[in-house]
Amino acid sequence: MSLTQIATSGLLASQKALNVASNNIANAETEGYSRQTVQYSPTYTLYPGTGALGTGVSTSVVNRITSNFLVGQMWESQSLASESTIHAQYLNDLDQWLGNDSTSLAKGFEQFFSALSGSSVDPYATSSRQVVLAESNGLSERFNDLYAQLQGQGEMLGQQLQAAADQANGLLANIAAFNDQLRSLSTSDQPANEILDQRNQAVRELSQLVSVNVLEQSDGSYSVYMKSGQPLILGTQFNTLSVNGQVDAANGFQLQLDTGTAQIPINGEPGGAMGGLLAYQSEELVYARNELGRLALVIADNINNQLQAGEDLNGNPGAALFNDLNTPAGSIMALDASSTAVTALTVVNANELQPSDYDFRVDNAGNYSLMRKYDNTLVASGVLSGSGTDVISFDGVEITVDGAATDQLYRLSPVRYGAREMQTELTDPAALAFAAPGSGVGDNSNLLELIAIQSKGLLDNGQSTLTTSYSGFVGDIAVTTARIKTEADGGKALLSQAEAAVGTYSGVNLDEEAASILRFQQLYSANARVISVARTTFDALLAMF
Amino acid sequence: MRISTGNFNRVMLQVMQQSMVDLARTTDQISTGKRILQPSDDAVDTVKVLHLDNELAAISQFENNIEAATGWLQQQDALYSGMNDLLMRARDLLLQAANGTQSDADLKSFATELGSLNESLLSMANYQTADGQYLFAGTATNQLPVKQLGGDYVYNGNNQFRQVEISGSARVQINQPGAELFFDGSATPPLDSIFDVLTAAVVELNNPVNLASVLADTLKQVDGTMERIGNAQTRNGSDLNLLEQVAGSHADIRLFAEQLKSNIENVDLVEATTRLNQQQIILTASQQVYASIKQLSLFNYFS
Repeated sequence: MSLTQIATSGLLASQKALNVASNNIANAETEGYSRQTVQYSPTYTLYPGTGALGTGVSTSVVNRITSNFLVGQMWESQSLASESTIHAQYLNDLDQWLGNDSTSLAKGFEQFFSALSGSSVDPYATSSRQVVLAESNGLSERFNDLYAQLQGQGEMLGQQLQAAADQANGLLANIAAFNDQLRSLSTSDQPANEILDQRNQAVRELSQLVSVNVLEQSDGSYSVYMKSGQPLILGTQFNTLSVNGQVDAANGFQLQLDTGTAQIPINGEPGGAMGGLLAYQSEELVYARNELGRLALVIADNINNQLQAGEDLNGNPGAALFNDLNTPAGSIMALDASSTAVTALTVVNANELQPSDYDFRVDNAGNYSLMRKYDNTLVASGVLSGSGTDVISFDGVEITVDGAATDQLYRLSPVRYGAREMQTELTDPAALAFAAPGSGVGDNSNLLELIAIQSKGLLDNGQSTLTTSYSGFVGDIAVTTARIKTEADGGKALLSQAEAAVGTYSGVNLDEEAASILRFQQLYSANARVISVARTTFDALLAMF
Repeated sequence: MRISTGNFNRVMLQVMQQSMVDLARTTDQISTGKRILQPSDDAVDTVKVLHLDNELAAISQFENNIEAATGWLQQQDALYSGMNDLLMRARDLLLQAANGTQSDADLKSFATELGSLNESLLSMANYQTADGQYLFAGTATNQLPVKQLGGDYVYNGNNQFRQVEISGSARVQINQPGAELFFDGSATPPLDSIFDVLTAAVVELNNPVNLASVLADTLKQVDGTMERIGNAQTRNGSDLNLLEQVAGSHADIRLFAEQLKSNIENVDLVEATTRLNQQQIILTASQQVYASIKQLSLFNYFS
């Protein structure tokens, strides 16, 4: 083997190394790029054994420096961080609305009861009666506005879920396509570095949206599963995610897996941003809606009842100030087509209401159960009578059920729409019944009873007034918000650490690459020098003739 | 340990962004003067502040009620004084008429004055507020309290009181049913009211039949009425005192609650400005460090 040939292999090798270093430099800021190095090996040996002579160097393979373990950890922290971050965003908005004076119910209650109290000195005066009506309207609007904000969140959440599912489907298709490409390239010795990086980057982006488990198969393809075990990608086959339902459905928006032949609902929390959205939807959004609705029903019912015990300026029996919320619209939701047994839901004692939805089930033998979802408590159970209509009571509510029914599944939401439906109906200030019957227009004894509602322990077995109930609710949401924000900060910190770990292992360091360039420049020069030495040697040989 | 250049840039950027977030938050706290910008900043203290707000709102309302009630009681007080003056004059006239030295003409002139005093007293008893409510009709404030029925004065209001809340535990009565002031429950109708009695005295003075005994009875009724009005005025006065005292204690509680609230929710300006300075230093330092580290590169030494 000639000196020239050996030196040429060295020249080519150093050129290749310079290329790889330049490629690293070019991709120093590329997301998901793993730095590459050239793997050298000596070429074959002439006359192995005695008098062995090397024949040069080959650079058969360009390797990519990566650690599946570190990358996997990064994906996992990415899912956790995205989940808590988006959950915290929604909570933060709710937290602000509840605390803000212009939207807070605490201010609404204060102003309403202040107006009533202001009427007590001169209950005959139209001006102070008009203030009562104005503040009553103000209070109803506060309920309506807060509900509208929650509804807006519910709708935005659905849109974000849909956008996330679309994005995830794109990524799933990409990963499956990468699997396919990698499979066809797997026979080559040179790994398909760029495709491997791109596939990992796609999995990382997918982890932002949903938490996944990834298994690398022997043919180099990734199998991707959801946390709950459903497969998203097997080889080149992939399923898609879709969003079902709507904001006012029993369970709101739901994620499901389309396998092409079947649609499987995803139960449990899928993690990632979609998990964060679904967690907010099923936890705080439901709680907030129900707690606001409950307060609306309680204040409307108590004020209306007290007014009806009095007499107005014209000597007529008192009229209701708020609309009647005790036969709530939309409170009965059948969860399957065969459920037709529940015909009515009535609130019989608003003060016993709980801020919760309920699941009502009847099995094939007529055994029924009522589960309070807020704290997973069984509030009623038994056997239907088998004929006529049955009335079942729980938490201040009565439902009318077909006694012969079997196999029923319902979601009952007595207070869900309370805050949306609340209205001030009374428009005539003279019709406010501040007097006890037969006591004259200057009497305020019924008004004093109305004012007393503010400080009565109405809710939670007499434990809470309207105001303490609201402030307890604000406190609950504030504690949860603070907790999820802390989780989000922690999640971001963990993600940042995981990114740093991957970066340390796989990322490009420009100084390192600069040093490589210097090294391989030298190597190139040295090999070039060898060629010139070879030429000089050959020239000297020729000169002999 | 090798550090990836791209990762280093991202981390430095995150550090600077976080510093900006912290800085913005401190600036918000300083400009609003509040430590708690939203409930989740401090859930426990937020609930305390909500309760204090509720208490402060209640105090404001009680203060408004006290102010309005004071107005009503003062109005009644002025009327009581006026009635008292009228009755004192009636008493003088009755005593003069009873001393046995008056001529018929004198008695007739007493009768005229006594008649007009009676009219004035009646109009005070039927006093109407600016919006047409009768002050002494109990809670039947749209009914003329004292009216004539077939020559007899009868009470046409009711005997109910109107009370106003002036604190969480105290109420004050702000009306006085006229029956208790102008009518004598122990007397027999028709001579059961001061108006009936004075009317009868006027008749007697104009045409004396049984002058001494009628004047004596009338005097007794005038004294009784003056006593009842005097009692009502005393009650009124002590209620006004009570209102003043309760207003004073509301002012104390308000001061205390406001102090407590500001301790809880207001930002400590000294601490916050110190924090702002530190955060500025940290941000500036990160920026300088980033800029100077970015200049370090082996490539600078390539020639």
